Amino acid sequence: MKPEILGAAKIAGALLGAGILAMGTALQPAFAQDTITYGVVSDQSGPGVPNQLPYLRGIQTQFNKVNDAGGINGRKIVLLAEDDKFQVPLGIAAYKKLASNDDVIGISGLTLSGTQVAALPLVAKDKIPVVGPDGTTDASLEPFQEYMFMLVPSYPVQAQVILGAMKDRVGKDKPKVADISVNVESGLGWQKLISETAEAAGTEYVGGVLMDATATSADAIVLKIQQMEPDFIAAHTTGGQANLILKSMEKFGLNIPVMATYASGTPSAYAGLSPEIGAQWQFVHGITPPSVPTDGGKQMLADAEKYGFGKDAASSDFVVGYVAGQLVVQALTDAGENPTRETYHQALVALKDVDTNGLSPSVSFGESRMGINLARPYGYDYATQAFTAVGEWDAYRQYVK
Amino acid sequence: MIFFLQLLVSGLAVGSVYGLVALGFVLIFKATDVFNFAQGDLLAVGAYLMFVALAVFNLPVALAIIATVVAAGILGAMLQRVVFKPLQGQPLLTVVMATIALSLIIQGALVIIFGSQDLSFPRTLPSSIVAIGALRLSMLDLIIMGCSVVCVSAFALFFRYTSLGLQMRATAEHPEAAALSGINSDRVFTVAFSIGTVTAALGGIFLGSLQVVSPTLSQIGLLAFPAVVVGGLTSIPGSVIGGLLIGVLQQLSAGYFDGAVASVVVYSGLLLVLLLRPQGLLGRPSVQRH
Repeated sequence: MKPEILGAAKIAGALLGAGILAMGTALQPAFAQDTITYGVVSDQSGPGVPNQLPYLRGIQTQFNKVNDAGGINGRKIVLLAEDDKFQVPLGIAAYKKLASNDDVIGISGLTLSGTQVAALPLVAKDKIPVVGPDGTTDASLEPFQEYMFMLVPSYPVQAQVILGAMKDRVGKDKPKVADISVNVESGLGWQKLISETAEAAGTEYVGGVLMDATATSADAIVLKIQQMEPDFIAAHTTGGQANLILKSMEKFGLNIPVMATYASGTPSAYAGLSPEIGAQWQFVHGITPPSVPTDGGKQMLADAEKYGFGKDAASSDFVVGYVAGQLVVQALTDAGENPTRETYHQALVALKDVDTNGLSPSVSFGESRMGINLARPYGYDYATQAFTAVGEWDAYRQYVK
Repeated sequence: MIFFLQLLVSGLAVGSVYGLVALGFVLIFKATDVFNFAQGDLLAVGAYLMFVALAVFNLPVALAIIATVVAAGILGAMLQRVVFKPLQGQPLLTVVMATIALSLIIQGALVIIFGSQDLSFPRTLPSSIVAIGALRLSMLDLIIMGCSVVCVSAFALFFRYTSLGLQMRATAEHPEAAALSGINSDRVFTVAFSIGTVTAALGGIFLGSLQVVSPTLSQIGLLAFPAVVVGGLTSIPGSVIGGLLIGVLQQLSAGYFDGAVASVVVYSGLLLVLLLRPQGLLGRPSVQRH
């Protein structure tokens, strides 16, 4: 073997050895009696990173905070975070690894829609509570899933708010709606949902287009939408895709309002655009984005800075993780001194009107397992470079059936 | 007809970016025989370097591009010296695995350094809308297409007429013979990696301007792979033509069918080319004597 290769092999060996030692150190407390072990399955190295890593960091912030305060009933939380690399098989393998570990009391994450759907029968079999995925699928709502505790408003709730609020804003008797949806499981579900519920919401569905997750241009999509002549667009895209769509809308002079699901709610969606075209895009969310001032938001940003996650805390997904972490901690506290999966599950069901200090409406899982059953729109203010809430929460309850 | 032409023009603009990244693949492969799977990640690095130049050092756009190009060139040279030089003469699989490892390291490092959030350039290249008859183009599209044409012409001339270009071709054809004739292969490899990284970084600057700067740019950069295969692994014009074809196919299929169909069409085209012309549209078939 060449000396250079031998050297590289030695370095790699040393790094691997150090990694194994570090892993051993990190895992060791999970099997101790004085800890509570909790799992997260999320995308830490694939295209879902911009959404899912802040979500994980939000949970980590809450766990670090409670651990610094002495833990839950004197027991510190050990977080086992598994990377699904945005791949369903890896997500399922990660889930199985955590669920088969008897010390793991509950799981969060499973946000990738394909993984979530595939994991549902396993979650029911393993009877392991899954709290606050940063996204929901139809299959996780119908039929009822005993152990799935959803935090963000379901897509049907978001669709009801979008269709209802946009109908009122456009001011026509029966405005025409088209959809743009990301080409993944949840996007296909969104397209079906809008096409099926538009009529009941007093709107007319004129068609939709799918957008590839790695698209580098939205020109073709916007040209197709232009031909449909809608009064507004109901979108389900990422922030990057929203940016592409807005740029193409500007290019082709398509000047109609868009209201989208929460996934597009990132500042980057509005980057490099004129304020006039940026004002066309609003998104709905069940939480309050970090740039909208609230008492809970101030505390959250301070906590994030303290634990080194300040860069991630600008994301709304961080808020979802932070609130999910708060609920997990609350339920684990309520589950008694020696919590089990079942007592923890019961404590989650019993959570009622949890105050998140302005980060969301009050949260109750209850029998529906839907933590936040409401959404409101947000826009972007170019002057302050911050999101602004469009009205109060209560103004949008009328649209939720 | 206008719909078709508009899709065609949009496809050419997007395809130009793929072509630039594919050009980097080909330059490195042509000179060193290394198929660099980290090329998409070097594209992402280019976008982040541009972001640093604009947002951290507050440079004007033109200076930021120059700084990014210089930094990318140095990075390419360093990668060759630190990672690829020690692997010279090793089996192909070892080198391929090293490029995959490099790809994963870059992806992880970008998230550690810049966080997971999408970023955007505080100032961008001109993106005003230009109307040519009923067709609408953004200035950015035109700049990207122009840059691709300039790059491919410059590199084609470089390989054909300059001493270093001829040395790079000779080294790629027969490294031992080139070394025996006095060509400094280390220098050739270093220059190849530098240029390959610069073209990837240019792709990153353009993609970052077209949309946002995020770790997912690495994935988008991978769309240059089919461009390379379609165009021909050793053909400089082929890489750009391959990129343009992929871009146009993507836009036409998204326009006439659906975004979901685009990948099917692109990869079906790739398969077809592999079946009918394995060396790519402009590649030369390799002949081996047994």
